Amino acid sequence: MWPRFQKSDLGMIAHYLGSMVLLIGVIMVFPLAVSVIMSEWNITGNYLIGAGAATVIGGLLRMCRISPGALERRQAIAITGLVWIVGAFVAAIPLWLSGHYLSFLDALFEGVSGLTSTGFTLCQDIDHLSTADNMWRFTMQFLGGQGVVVIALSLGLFSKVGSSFYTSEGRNEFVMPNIKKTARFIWQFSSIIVIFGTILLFTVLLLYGFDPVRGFFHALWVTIGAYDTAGFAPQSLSIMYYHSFPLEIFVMVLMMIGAVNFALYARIWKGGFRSTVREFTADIEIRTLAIWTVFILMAFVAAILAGSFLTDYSGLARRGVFTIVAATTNTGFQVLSTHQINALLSSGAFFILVLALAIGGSSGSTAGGIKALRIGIIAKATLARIKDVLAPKSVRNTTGYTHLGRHLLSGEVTGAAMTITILYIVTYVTGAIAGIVAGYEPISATMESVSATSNAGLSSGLIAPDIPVYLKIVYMLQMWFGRLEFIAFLAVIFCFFASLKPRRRAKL
Amino acid sequence: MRRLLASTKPFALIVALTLAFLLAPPIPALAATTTVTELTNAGVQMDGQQVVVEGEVIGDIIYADVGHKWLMLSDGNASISVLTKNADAQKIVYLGRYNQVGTRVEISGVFRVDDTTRDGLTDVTAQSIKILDEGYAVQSPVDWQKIQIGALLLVVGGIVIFIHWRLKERTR
Repeated sequence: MWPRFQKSDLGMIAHYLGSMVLLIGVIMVFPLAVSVIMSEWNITGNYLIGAGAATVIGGLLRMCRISPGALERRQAIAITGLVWIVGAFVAAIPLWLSGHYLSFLDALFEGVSGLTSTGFTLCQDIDHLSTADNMWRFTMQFLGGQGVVVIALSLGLFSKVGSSFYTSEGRNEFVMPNIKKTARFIWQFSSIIVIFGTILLFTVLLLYGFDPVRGFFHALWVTIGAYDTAGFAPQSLSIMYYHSFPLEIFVMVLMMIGAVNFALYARIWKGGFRSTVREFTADIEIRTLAIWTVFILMAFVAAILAGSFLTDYSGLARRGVFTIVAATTNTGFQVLSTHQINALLSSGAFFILVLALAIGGSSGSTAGGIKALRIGIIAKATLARIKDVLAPKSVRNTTGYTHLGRHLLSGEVTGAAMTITILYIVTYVTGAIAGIVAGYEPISATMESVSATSNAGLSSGLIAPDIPVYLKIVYMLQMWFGRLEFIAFLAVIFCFFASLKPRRRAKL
Repeated sequence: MRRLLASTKPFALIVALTLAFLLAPPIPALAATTTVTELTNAGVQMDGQQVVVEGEVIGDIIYADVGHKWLMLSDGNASISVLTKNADAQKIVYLGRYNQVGTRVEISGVFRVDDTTRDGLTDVTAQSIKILDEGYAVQSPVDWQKIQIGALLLVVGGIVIFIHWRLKERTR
């Protein structure tokens, strides 16, 4: 029997959801302050309205339960599942008021894309967007990349809740002794990377002629976009805008740092150099990621060289490598124009890009997609199965794998990896069909679907304000599914529908 | 003799002009002005051609190499990189950003969809730049109506939070 939500459950869910909405309202202080500092006075009101709406909505939701007790696991899962939509709704208010979005739905799309760290945009005339609005777009990506829940936990907002919250946001490993310390570690580590990345990119941009104020904001935003493998860009030309090879190299390094599991960084933080190197090289996820990246890069280069575009080595080394790193880390930054991707890239290279987007980076990182760990586990389980078939009946093989310690490759682990992988594939295919039905080219529709579900944001140009409304909703759902890795989302849906069904009367 | 020369002069002139016309080096056709969107969509069809493109200069002027700068040209829907001489880049008065309408220019140059000298970038190498409109700064006045609505919402939200806090205290 499916568990049902009782009235008391709904009160608890609403209360904690209200706390999250209040948190988003408080975070709107950042763009509000930027609008004042940059004298963007007609934007200031938008963020006051946004923060005010968050306070009212958050306050009313908290009223649904005056004194909340400890959360149960399914309540925590429901809150995590819903916060990405309710949060995006509140986050979309100031964007909608900016006048750069055709409708509230487009602003909501931007909110979902930002909070899920996808990077698709429906913003019109982005090159004239205010500094405050850009600040908000990238703040959303930072929130989304680290996990809204992780940030709430690191602030001690849900001290009674335990680990249910944390695992329901698509994170599985505890890198520190307790949940609050784990959340704080992720938050502190990310802040350090963002500070260093900003200093580095700021220096490059100054050398390329940027004025200090714009240089600082662009450096900060691009660092956040790269490290959170998010992909929003402050200009319509994405990373091509900067015309800087050194900047592209630093961005690639940031994307790769963002695509590795936080838990491994924690081990480096705590452990010695030797043990860290040993752990890194033995880790199934790192090995799979390394093998996959090398394989996909070679295939991409071969496919490009078979065509007539980017056949000179400097172009291939610069734009080809960047594109494949952006795709494998699910970042979505572009150094190729939409026309180059659609018309000049060979169909083979295009297909390899889609494959790279589909697999993605590491679990427990800011990257999306099926994840290297699951691919590694499935590959290892397949080999173990073959070994079992060949072994004499009296012999029973056990297989293990290294990932943050040594584990047994059980049927449960393999089954979980297979389930999520199948759910990803089903969602990729469903979204592609939705795009094809709307009249778009199958290969473009597939790329956008995979890009949305894996929270990558690399676009073939299909995503635009004039796409059908239903397609915008499909992509929003895909971004949501992908960010939560399905389980939290499916739990909310099943519990909700089970609650609607009337209870059967007990027979007397 | 003089009469013969006089009668053949117009004929010789016509022949000379015809030969000059036929043997003259080809003059590049005057390209019609195009938009950035048309140019980026045309892609390969326009590759290597002389183009005249019109648009607003946006963002920043970025270093390209000694003697050259990058300008970004936009028509609101699409944008493209334009390689210009330093002296031409200095003609730009306003750069299109928030609260600024950038200088509107007509650029004559060569379009490349896959510029091998720039590692495969799609760009226009400008030969001449004509300023059509200098652009201007836009004022950003305080929108008091929005400020009032925002403040009102914050007050209402604050009251709701206060009531919740009071109720919670009472239940303890």
